Amino acid sequence: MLLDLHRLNEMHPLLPPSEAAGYAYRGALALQRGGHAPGVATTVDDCGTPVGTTVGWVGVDPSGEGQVDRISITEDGATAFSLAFLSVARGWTVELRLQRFQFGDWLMIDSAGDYVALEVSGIEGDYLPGRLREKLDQVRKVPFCDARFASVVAFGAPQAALAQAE
Amino acid sequence: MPRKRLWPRQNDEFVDLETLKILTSDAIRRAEGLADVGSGGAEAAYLDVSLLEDRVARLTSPSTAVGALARQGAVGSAVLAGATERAEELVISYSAEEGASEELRDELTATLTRLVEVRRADRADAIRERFPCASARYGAEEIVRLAEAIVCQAEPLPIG
Amino acid sequence: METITFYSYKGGTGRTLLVAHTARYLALSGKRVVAVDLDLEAPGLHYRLATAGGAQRGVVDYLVDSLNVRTAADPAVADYISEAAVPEGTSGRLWLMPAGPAPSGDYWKRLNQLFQLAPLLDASGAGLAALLDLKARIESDLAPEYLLLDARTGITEVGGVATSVLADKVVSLFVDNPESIEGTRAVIRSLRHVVRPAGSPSVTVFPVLSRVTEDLDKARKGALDDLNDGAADGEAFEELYVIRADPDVDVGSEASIGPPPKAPPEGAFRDYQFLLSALVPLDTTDVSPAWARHVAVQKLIEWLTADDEELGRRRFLRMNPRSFRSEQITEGIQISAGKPQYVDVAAFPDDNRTEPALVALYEQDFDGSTAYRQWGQGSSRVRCVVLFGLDKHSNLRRRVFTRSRYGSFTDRGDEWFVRWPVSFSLDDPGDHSTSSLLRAVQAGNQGFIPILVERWQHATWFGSHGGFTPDPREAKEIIDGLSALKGDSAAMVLWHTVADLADDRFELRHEGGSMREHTMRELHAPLWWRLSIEAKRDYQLAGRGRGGLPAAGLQLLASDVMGLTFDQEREFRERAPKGDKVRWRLAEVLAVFDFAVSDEPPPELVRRAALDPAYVDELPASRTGEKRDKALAAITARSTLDRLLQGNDGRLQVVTTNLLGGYDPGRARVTVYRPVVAWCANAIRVDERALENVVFLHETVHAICHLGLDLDGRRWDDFALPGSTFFDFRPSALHEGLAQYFTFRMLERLDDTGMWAAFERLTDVQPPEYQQWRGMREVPLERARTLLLEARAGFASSLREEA
Repeated sequence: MLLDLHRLNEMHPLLPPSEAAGYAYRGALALQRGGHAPGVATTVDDCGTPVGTTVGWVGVDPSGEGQVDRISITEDGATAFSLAFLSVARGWTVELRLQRFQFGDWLMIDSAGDYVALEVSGIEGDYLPGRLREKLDQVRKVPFCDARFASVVAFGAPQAALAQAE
Repeated sequence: MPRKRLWPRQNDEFVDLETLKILTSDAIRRAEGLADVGSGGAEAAYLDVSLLEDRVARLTSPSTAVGALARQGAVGSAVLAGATERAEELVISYSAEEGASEELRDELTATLTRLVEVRRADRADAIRERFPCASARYGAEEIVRLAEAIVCQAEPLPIG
Repeated sequence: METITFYSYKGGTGRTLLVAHTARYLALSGKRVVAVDLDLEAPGLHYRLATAGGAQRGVVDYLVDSLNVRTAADPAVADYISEAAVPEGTSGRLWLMPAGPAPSGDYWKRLNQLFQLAPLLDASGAGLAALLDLKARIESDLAPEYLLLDARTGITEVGGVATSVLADKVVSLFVDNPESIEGTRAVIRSLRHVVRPAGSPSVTVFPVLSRVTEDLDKARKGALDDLNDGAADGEAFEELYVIRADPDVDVGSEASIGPPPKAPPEGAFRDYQFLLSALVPLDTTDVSPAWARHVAVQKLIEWLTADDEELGRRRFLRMNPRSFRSEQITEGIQISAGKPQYVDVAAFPDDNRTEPALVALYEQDFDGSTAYRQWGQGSSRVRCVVLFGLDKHSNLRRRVFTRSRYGSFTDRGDEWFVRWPVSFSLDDPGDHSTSSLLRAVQAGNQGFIPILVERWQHATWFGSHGGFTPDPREAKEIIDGLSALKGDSAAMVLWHTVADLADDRFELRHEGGSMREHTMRELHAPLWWRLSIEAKRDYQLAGRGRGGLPAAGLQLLASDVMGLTFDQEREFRERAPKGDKVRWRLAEVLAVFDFAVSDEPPPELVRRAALDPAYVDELPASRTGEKRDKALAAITARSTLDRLLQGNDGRLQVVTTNLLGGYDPGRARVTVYRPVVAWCANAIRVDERALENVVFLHETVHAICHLGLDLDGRRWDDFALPGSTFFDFRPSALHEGLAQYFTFRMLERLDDTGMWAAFERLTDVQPPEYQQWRGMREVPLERARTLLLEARAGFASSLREEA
C-alpha cells in the first residue's frame, strides 16, 4: 500500500490546497529527519490489525528543517501520514477541520458516508500507546459524530497506530 | 462539480458548500496560529471563523454532524473573538431551529459557558502575570469581572 | 489608604486648586499623602504643587511602560513620582505624580500611545488592571494614608474609572449654571450604581458648589434643590458644600485662596475648612495648627501678589505699583541656604528660578524669631525675608527684613510694602531713603525719578500747603543728586519735572502760585542749568513733537535775574509769515535760540595759533580740506593748548567768550568749545561739566542780553561782541562785565557748589574784564538791570564806576 504524501490534495478535495502541500512538505521533513528515504516501509496498527505500507514523497531540502519548528514538523507530518493512510486504507475524506475546543482535529466522512471525528498526533520517539490513550480520551468528547478515532504517528521507525474511541 | 472559488462573494450571493468548508478549515488554522503566537489579530481571525462556520451551518441541517459541529464552531469562535453577545445570539438562534436536537442545544450552551470561562481565565492569567501587585490586592479574576462589567455598561458611567 | 477623587463635570470650578489645598492641608496635619493628576488631556496639578526638581515623567509614562509587553522589568513608582517639601518637624509627607511632562510634544505622543495600548472600555481588562496596579503599587511602596486623584472633566473613560472603581469618596464640584448642574446631577446619581470592587461600599459623594458670589444660604438651598430634582427615593443629597468666589481664582492666574470682594473676611477659608473637616475628619489637635499655617500662607501669597494702587499712594513711596506675579511664587519648597531649608513661600525673579529674591517663613512666635539670619550670606540673592503668622483674630502679621547687597538684614517691621521689581533694584529693597533712591537713579533706574520729584515737592515750603513737613535739607539733597545725573537719566529728569497738567500732583494751589509753577521754577529750571548740555539738547529736541516744551530755565535767567522776558514761541510767532499755516519746524524754533557743543577750535585759539611761529605755517589759507582739518585738530591737542593758552610767564590767559564758548548774534547761537573747556578744567582743577555749564551760562547771558525784551518790547538790536579776527583781541569790558555779573547772580540762585567753584577759579585766570563782578557783589540786582537797559539803549559804555 503506497501512501504518496504529495497526492494529499487529490485524496482530500476539501483540504485547503495550500495546507495539503504544507502537510506533505513537513511530512517529508519528518521522515527525512528520522533518516528515512522515500519508499520507506511502515507498519500501521489499524485498530489492532497491522497493515504494511510504503510511504512515498518527493525529497525535500533538509535545510528546510531549520525553518520550521520541530513540533510543527512532527504534528503536521503526522497529519499528512494519517490522512494519506485513511484515504488509501479506508477510503475516508476530510469534511471539515474541527476547532480545538471541539476536542478533535478533523471531521471526516468514511466510505459508508458516516461522520467520523479524528484526532491526530505525532511523536519523535517510538512509544505510541501512551499518546494514543491520551488522544482517545480527548476525541471521545467530540459530539454529534458517528465514530471517533485517534491516530498517532511515530517517525522513529516509522510507525503509526489508529484506534477508535468507544 | 462547481468550480471552487478562493474568495466568497458578498452576503447574498450563493457560495457552494464545498468552498465554504475549505475556507472555514483554512480560517480555523489561521486563527489558531495567530492565537498561538499571541497576535492581536487573533480575535478578528476568530470572528472570520465564526462567520464562515455560520455560513456552513446555514447550508447544512442541524441534525447532521457537520451541521451541528458547524453551529458549535460558530458559537465557540464568536466567544474567542470577544463577541460574546454574538455567541449568545447564535445559541438562541440555533436552538430555535427546527431539527435542533436537545443534545445540540445543550452542547451549544455548554460550549458558550465553557469558553467564556476559559477566556476569562486566560485574561486573568495574563493580568496576573503582567500586574502582580494589582492581582495580589484585588484578585486577577475580580479585575476581569470589573472590566467586563464596565464593558457591559458600554459607557464610562451608567448615566444612560 | 483612603482614595478621594476630585471631579467636575465642567472646568473652571477650582477643582485642581482644591486638590492642592487638600493635599497640603493633610500633609501639614501630619498625614502621608499622594496626589495623582489623572486629568491626562489637560494636566495642571504640577502647577499647583511644587516639588523639588519637578517630575519629568508621570502617570502616562508609568502606564505606557507597564502596559508595554516589551518592557523588561516592572516600572517602579518611585521613578515617576516626586516629593514636595514640608516644614521641619512636620510628620506628614506629600508626593505628587503628575500626568507627565505636559505640555511638551513628547507628552501628547505618549498619551496617544497609551490610548492605543489599552482603552479602558476593553474586556481584556489590561487598561483597568494598569490603573489598579498603579494604585496598588502606590499603596505598597509609599503607604500613604490618603490618595488624592484629580480627575478629568466631562464623561471620560479615565474619569469614569477614577470616580467609580478607584475612589472611596468623590468630591464633585460645580457652579451655579444649568449645564454644570444638570451634568453634575447625572454623574453623581450614576455613582450610586457604578461598578465597584467586590466588598467595597458605595462611593461617598460630596457635592460642592463653588464660586458663589451671592448669599450663601440662598445659593446652597437653590443648588441642593436643583441637584435633587427628580431624585428617586434614597437618591437625594442632604448636604451641599459651598465655596465662595475668589476673584483671583476667577482671573485664573493665582495660586492662592483669598477673601472675595464683598464677603466678610475669612469667608473662603471657613468654607474650605468646613468642607475638609467633613471630607477628611482629623483629630483637631492635628488640624488647628496645620490649618492656621495653611491659611497664613495663602494670605501671605495674596499680599505678595496684590497689585494695589492704594498701597502705592499711601506712603511717601509712590511707585508705579507692582507686585509679584503668581508664576513667580512657589509654595512650600526646599531652598539651599548653606544647607537645605524649608520655606513656606518663595518668590523668584524672572531670570533666576533657583535662588529666590524673597523667602517667607511661618513662625508661631515671630517676634522672637531669629530664623531670618540664616539667609544673610554675602553671596546670597535673597534680599528679603518675611516672618509671618496669624494673630488671635486670624489677621496676617508680618515682620519684614530687607538686606542690602552683601550687607546684613534690617528689620523693617510691618511697614514695608513689597514692590517687585522696583524695590529690588535698590541696594536694599527696604531702604527707601532719598540717598538710596538717588543711588538707584544714578545707577540707571529711572523709575525712581518721579518719586524723587514728588518727594522734593513735599519737602519744599510749598509742600506744607499739602500737609507735608518741609525739609529743606532733603529738598537740597534731591536737587543736588538729580543734578549729578548723566546720560539718558539726565534728560529724563528734565522731562519728569515739566508740569503735566493731567497729573494731579500739580493740582495743589496756593496764593503763592501752583505746585506746577513752583516745580518749574524751583526744580526744573535750576536742574536745566546744572545738567549737561546734552541733557538740555535732548530736552529741547523732545519738545519738537509737542510744539515745544516750556523753556523754564531760560525764563528763570531772563525774567528773575536779568529783568527781561524771553519767549521763544513769541519770537517764532513774530517771525513766521502772517496768514500762512504755522508749521512747527525745528529749524525755525531753533533759529530763535540754539546752542551746541563743538569740537572745533574756537576763534581766539585760531587767532593765537596764527600768531605763533610754531603754527603759522601749519594753518593753510583754505578754509576747508583735509589739511585744514588736521591742522585744526592739532590746535586743540593738549600740548598745543598748553603752549597757546599760557603766557611767557606760564600763567594762564583764558577768556570765556571766543575761547571757551561763544555767542553768535547773527544766528542766535551759543557754542561751547568742549576740547578747550576740558583742557581748562584740568588746568584749573575743576569739574569739567561744571565748567561747561558756567561757560554755557555766561554765553547765554549774552544771548539774553541780545534777545531779551524789555517792558517796551525792545531788544538790544545792535548787540555785538568783538571778534577774534583782530591782531590783538580784547574782550568787551561792558559785555563781559554784565555777563559775569549776571552769571554770578544766577549761580547764587542755583547754589551749585561745583559750578560756583568753577566760576571762581576761572575768574582767577581771566583778564580784568572778567573780574569786574567781584567789585559788584554789593550792587543791587535792580541797579544791574538798569545798567543793562542803559547799555542796550547806548547810554552805558562801561561798568567801571559800579565795579
